[in-house]
Amino acid sequence: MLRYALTRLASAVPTLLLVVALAFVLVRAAPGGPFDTERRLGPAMEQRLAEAYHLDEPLPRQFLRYLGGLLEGDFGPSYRYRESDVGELIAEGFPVSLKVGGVAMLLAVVIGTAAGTLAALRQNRPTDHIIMALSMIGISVPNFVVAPILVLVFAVTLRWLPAGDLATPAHYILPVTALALPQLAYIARLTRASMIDVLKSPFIRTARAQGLSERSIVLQHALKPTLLPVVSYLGPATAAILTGSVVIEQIFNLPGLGRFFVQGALNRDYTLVMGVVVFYGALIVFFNFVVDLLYGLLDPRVRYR
Amino acid sequence: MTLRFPVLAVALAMLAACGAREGADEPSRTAPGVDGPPAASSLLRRAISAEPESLDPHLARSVPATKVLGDLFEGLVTLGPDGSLQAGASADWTVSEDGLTWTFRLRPGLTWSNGDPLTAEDFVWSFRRLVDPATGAFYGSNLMPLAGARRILEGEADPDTLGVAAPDAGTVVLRLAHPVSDLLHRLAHPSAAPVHRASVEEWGDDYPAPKRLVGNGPYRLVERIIGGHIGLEKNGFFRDPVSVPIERVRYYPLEDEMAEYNRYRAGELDITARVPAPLFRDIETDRPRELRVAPYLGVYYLGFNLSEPPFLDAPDLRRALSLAIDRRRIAGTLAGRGELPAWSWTPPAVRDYSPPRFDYADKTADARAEEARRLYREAGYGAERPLRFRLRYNTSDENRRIATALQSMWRDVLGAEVELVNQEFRVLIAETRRGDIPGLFRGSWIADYNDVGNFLTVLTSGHTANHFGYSNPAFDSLVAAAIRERGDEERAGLFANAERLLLAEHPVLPIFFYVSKHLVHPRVGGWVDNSLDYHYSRYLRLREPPGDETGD
Repeated sequence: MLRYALTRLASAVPTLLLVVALAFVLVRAAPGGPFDTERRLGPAMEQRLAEAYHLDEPLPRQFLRYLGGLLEGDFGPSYRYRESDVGELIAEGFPVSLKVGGVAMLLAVVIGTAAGTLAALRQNRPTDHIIMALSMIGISVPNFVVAPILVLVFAVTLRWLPAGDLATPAHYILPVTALALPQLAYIARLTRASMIDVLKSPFIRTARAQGLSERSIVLQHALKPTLLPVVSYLGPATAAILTGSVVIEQIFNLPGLGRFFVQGALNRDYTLVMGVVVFYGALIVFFNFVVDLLYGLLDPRVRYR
Repeated sequence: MTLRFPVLAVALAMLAACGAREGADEPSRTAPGVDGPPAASSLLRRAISAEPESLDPHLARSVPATKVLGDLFEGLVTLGPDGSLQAGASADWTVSEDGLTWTFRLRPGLTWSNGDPLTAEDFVWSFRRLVDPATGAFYGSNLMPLAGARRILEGEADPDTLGVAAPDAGTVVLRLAHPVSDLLHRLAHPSAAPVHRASVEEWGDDYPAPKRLVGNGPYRLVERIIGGHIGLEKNGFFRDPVSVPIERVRYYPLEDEMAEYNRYRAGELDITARVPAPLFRDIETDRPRELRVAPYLGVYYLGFNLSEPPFLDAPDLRRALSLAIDRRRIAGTLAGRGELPAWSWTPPAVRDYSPPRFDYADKTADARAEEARRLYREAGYGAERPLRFRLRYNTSDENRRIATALQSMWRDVLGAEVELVNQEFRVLIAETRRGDIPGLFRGSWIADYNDVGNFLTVLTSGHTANHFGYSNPAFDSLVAAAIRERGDEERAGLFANAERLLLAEHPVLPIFFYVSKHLVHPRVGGWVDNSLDYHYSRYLRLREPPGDETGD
């Protein structure tokens, strides 16, 4: 197990390196630079800026410089927000995305598996149909539709909840709901399909034959293997949700990571985009790793070598 | 079969907890986002359209940043509620006979927001920093009239050689390279604010942060959450704190105009930065007293690439394209928020100047179309040999609608075949800067200060925003003479002659003049529409109870 974990972690290094290299090439390939504006700054000033940010050096050299900084944990200065380092921006944005995304993910997992299990146990009965219809809506209606509707109903019309910002716990309700809904719906469907499969397997038939109560069959025997596909979905989903949803952050004015991604790309803020990409890449690698370890706990057939 | 799932129970408990929190929050409903005891009435909540890239007056360059800076700093002169010039850190000034030496007397007892005395030396240091190429200030060119500024900005002279001096702690003397009459307007721009030398030297680029940023404006910076909000509090060391009614101000950078409007409707904003275009008509009907639309010093234009065919040396062809444009329809229907059709390059809203207009401004659409067709034919184009070119614009709904309309106007009137190319803003900018764009491109010019010179200098040879490659020595010398002219009427006359020349040659096609558009909640008083769209928080006040009377 330990050896497996170490090998996995070691294999993450070339993956991340590749991510950094690809991102670097793609970001630099985009036309237009961070200091291009409608009005030129003048040659003397442009020269100084290029020197200050090492943009006058050949690209391979800039890449090595960036890598060197990364190894020391330095993401470099933001080109756009001149008083901030990318590291600082990520450090400020990530806790926000973590709080909103974490609560959303928790809700999605808890309610999603519960609803999926319920639907599986009531297969082809009204409860199942209702849950599956709702989850279909949840999956197919995108965030940028759900979020404004929530705002219109609960903030503008009813005035029960605030429409933006994160000052109090009440501020979390709408963004968390909007963020959780599609994940919740997807998890519910995954759980239902998986549970139906599991309930048909021989070991469940054996358990039934032994006269175990339905409750103990579902909770103690069926639930663990049911969760396998859900858990493998959770890895990338958690990484995605934690790095922030651009749409949700814009609509609710949340100071999270997601909008740095988009704004950074539009502003040609090279270091900011790179920083978010590297951070996002590392998160995905990490959560996939966690998922692989969780597999072992859930499925006795999995052995780590 | 009854199953009770612990998971479900947990989920329900969480939902219940959320509900409980919501209930607990109920009392502060009137002002969500207020954390702390001060009453909602002492907090002004304003939206800006994007996150300011910097709160250093020398490094900021975007409109949203200058809005916030106007509350944090004050220059020698400043702008009043109506955008007119007003005494700032300096109460009075004198100009020498030859117009080359300006002497500003600082108000007595000025202090920085940390209590340090603010002296003339601070202005000297700040002006030098503003023009120093090492600073990388976008608005260094605003000080261009100062002696030595040009050479410093070009990196050929030391910033110490700038024509600014402090003979004593209370006097700032500016020496000019040549007389100009717009100097005060340039000095009222937020970039001409003094910055606190000790803080800049201690913190470097990181100084514009809460607890570090020391300013001299009516407010001081207490909170900054990138992507969240910028919190300001009244500066007790401001020269006239009693005149500042509102205790706290929050700026919310909101990129999405619908989200912004929803927050306004939910009672979470007092002033919006914009009004969403698709809902403009509804808002006009539903909230006439809150909607504030005013002429703005900005022009939406199409620029030609004048350095290559088909538009090189073809003023008549350019005129034909201009004639074929139905500006009233574009401004009235497609922009549709009160924008004015542009018959000149300089907006009529600019002070002390009435711009000459295209000679066909008052002709009927039919007469214009007829002349357009004649010029088009004379230029050698027709049904068998249509004019083909590309129109590039940066991606946005409004630009797309307008470009499509232009395409069909040129096709219907002239038979020209126009290919529309939309590009990301940065790509368009990079290509126009390289002179890489064949045909036409969409652009806009927003004035930094209220002066006709701020519009006409753009088209002088080699100006940093002259992407057209327009170069006309007669125009250049008229503008140069106008800039140096001290008599107001003579100056306006010279500029008008220059603009007439420009309009006759059509190097650029102004399409419409922008308007500023805001929603201002009835509880906000003191708002005065102005063409620069500067509304410093110090002039505003909050009325109670909310929803009494609108307008001032």
